[in-house]
Amino acid sequence: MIMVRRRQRTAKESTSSSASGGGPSSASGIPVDQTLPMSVAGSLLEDQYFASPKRKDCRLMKVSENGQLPETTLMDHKGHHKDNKAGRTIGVPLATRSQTRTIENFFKANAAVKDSEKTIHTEDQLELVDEEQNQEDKHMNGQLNEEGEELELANEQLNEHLTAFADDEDAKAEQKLMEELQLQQVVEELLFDGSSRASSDSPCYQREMAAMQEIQVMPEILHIKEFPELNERLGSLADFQTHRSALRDSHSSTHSSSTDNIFLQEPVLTLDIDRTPTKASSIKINRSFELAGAVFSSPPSVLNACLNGRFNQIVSLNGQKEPLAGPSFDLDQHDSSSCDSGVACALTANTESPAGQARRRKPATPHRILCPSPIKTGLKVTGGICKVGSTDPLSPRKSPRKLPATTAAVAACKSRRRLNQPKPQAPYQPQPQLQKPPPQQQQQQDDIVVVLDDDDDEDEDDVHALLKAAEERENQNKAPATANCNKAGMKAMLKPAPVKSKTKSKGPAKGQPPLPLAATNGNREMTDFFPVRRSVRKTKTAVKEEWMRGLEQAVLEERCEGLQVRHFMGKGRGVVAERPFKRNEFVVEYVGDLISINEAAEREKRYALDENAGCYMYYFKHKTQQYCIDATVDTGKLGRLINHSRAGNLMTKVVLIKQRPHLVLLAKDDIEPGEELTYDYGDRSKESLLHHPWLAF
Amino acid sequence: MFEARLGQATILKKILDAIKDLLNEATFDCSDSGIQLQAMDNSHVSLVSLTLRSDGFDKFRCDRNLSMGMNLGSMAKILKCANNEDNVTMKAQDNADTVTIMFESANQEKVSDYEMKLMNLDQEHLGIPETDFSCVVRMPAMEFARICRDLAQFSESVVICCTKEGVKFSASGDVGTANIKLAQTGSVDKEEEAVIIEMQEPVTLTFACRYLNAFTKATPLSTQVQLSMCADVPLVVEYAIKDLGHIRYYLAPKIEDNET
Repeated sequence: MIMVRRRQRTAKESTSSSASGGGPSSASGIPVDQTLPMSVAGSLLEDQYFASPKRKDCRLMKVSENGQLPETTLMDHKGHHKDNKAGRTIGVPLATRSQTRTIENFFKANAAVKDSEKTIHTEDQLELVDEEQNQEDKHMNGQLNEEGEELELANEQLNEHLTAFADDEDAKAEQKLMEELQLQQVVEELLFDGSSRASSDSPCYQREMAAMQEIQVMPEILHIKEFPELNERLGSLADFQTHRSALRDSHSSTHSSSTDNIFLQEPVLTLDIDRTPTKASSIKINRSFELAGAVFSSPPSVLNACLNGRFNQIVSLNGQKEPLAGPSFDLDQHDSSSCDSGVACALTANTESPAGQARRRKPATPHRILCPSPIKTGLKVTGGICKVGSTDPLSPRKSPRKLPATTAAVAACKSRRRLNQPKPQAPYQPQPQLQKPPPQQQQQQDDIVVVLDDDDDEDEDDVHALLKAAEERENQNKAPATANCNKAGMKAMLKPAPVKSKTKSKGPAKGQPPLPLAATNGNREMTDFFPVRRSVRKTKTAVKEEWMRGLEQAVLEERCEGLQVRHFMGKGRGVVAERPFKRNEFVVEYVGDLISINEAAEREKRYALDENAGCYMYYFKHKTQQYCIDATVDTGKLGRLINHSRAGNLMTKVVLIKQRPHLVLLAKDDIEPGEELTYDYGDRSKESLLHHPWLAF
Repeated sequence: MFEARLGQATILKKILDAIKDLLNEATFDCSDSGIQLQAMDNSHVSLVSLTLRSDGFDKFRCDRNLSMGMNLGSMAKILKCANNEDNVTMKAQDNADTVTIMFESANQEKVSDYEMKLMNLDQEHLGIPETDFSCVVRMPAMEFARICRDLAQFSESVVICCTKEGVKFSASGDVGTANIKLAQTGSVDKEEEAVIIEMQEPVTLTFACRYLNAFTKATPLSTQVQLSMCADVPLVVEYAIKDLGHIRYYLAPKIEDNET
């Protein structure tokens, strides 16, 4: 269940990230219509995120609030989301995620410390934003009853804002673009705080997860919109990198402020690193932060959420750097989502400026190792993230931390387990994690987060390799990142596919199954030559039943085929077989009047008077009852004409048909054509012998 | 009650080795006349037919016909636990779902029991008609194994061409071509080294090397192998198991593509 929730959260996060990206895009003014829905989705996503990955949302919200506060609506939405998230995160216990929570808690503890530092500045802002968000949430609350009251308020506000702010958002987006740099810094702080908060509060993550599920549809749209933005961002990757460096510095400064938010108490381990990267990233992309925040909310696990939030922040930083490019924001959102699917993120990140991030991430604490899987998934999920990753380079330290965090959050479901496991395995996994984180960072930077891959294993492996390759190819990756961004815009283009292909290639290489003997290429099969034996064996009773059925059928048909009446010297008429009869085969029925013994006695007396009357009375006993069949009357039936022989070739059998016994003559042995059919009359009495001496033969 | 006792476990080991590569599992049909096994490999290209006559066992008792579906891999594992000189006794109740395999050392000092679960295998049984083969080649089993092994390096398929003069195995592949001709031995000094060809009409057939090599796993069972061929009929590779029965492999010819 937990895993599922995480995944859902991740999806939601992705959607939210996309939504947030839409917000930024709108701010940039690129696609107004898109931005409007994006903002709406983002608000929805944010609400959801608040539930689970509040950290990200909080970050986004904070960023948006900081940047948007002057701009009102968009900022309000974002701020509300963030506030909601923050509030939720604050109230939500991490306990929801049983397995990973422990690690997350640890991370959170560290994050909390960091957050405490960061939150100081942001808390005031957050409070303000929260108030606004609470108002907005009131509308949303109806949908998000599960979420905290604060969340609900924020949601309501968001909904209102979404509708009313759609237009406003565009204007706001422009304003935001102008203000982005400033806002980004604030947002970064906010994001960090939010991430920390989200991470700290597991319930918030859950809520976010739920919200993510709801928003899943929206994220896709957002992602699509984001893709063009991503492309634009890719173009500015170099700039982003430079920005990143600046952002890193700024992040370092902002982190302290952002961490002040106690609510954000994100995974303790990652918080420090995340903060720096997130700050850097956040500085660049304020809008993206909003989107990213939504994405971050998606990370199922609190830790992941925190990480994601950081990543989102990073992304937002990128976006800030390229605020004009709506896609960059989208990418950021994707990145946040991609954080869960670390692989996807890694892929995209690798292409763009993942190497630097990856390198940075690699050195990051082993905790990040846990994140790598999510990062990988993120990479797989969306190529768009890669673009964001390009922007991410601005804050290498922060981005690495954030990336792992985001990846962890995104992959929270799977990553949590892995994270927990990887931590103990730290010695072995650190390198892979490090490798993975860079892609995540890249992805996040790229805003590729659109689709989060849940396949942590493949993602991880792929991510590791990808990350390594990405680091080496950073320059090359930038171009691919742009391509990825384009792909991200396509959604379908998501880099995850390439990642998968890589993973697949690796998979087969690892284990090559021996060629099976079964391969029949060009060979014929035995069944072509030898027929498959279908057993025709029947049980004894089945055979007998069948035989009895045949007898009944023959009797009812009054069958008398293959018989011929012939005159025999001294015996009169007799019956000769015209065809061969098999043993036990029905030959003919002894047809006559079925009479009782008494009736038979009377008839005997009557027949005794007639010297011409033959011997046609057949006495037999059936089930304790004595019967007699009188065939004295010449009916033309052949049964009565069969002569006597003590060594006859026929035998009689009583067959009960319709509760009436019938006398049937069966072949005692195989009978050849031309043989006379005879049977033993069975009369051995002296009187009978006297009158019918032939009975003796 | 089914009970069959063999004086030497090595024979049963060799039999299992001869069939476990082709078959994952198979049904041993036990009757008063002995034990029979017939099964196709997964691809249905080859068929294994094993016959162990009851009179070849030291002790054989089968009150009712019994079909024992066994995982041959598991069976082989159990047989690995036996020393070659051990007595082997297979026992099963009439309606049991397990078979007990008991190994007794020659001096009865060590007795080990292994009980294996039986499987209910729904395998198709093929009716193999009697065939008058155009060519029947008897040759040393080791020689046949060597030929199959060598030719497998050149091609996936081997062309067996049997004429009055002798039998020719040929393979052609990317590396080149390989031809191995065996002439009928004029004077039979040693029966087990003789190559004897009984031919009604010449035959040329193509078979997959992989299966032939799988068949040669039965080489330890017999000094001589008998190849029976007829156009458009599966090849029969028969290894006699001295005093006990035989194991026959049927291999469907390859679809007509290259005949040299």
